[in-house]
Amino acid sequence: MFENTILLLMVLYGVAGVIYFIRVLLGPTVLDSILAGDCVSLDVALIALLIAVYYENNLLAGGAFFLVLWAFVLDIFASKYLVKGEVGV
Amino acid sequence: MRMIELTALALLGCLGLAYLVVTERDLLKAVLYTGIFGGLVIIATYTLMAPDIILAYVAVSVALSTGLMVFLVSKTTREEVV
Repeated sequence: MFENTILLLMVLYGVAGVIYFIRVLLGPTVLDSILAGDCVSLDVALIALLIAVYYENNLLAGGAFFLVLWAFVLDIFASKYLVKGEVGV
Repeated sequence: MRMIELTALALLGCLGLAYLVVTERDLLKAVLYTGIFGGLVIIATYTLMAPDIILAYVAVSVALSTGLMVFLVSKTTREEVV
């Protein structure tokens, strides 16, 4: 029962990821695509945490936190590029 | 259950994303596709039970590589001219 619930949640988050990715493809502006790509990365982190719960392994859960933390760097660089026209490092 | 189906799905998605990265004309969207490509590789690596690779791969693939490519796009034109 517990494993079936986790598998159902993974399928639901996968469907949500597909819908986010359709928005990435069809986004009218590039800002919508970037926001949807950010949502895809958070979705991937949730699926990774569900895999960690499914395998009952606490070492697998550490990578998901790094994914959540590092996914914002692309947004920061892209927004600096869109506002200023250049990325000053 | 070893979730080999999830690995196959993630790698199939990687193949489609690689095609999108090559054929996209807007370079900023191509960089975004590269980040999502990294996310799918992370799912495949998770199902193959390699958490120590992910700790380095997330930082390089999702953050450093895409940030460096946005910096590169800012030095050139955004639309690809053939």
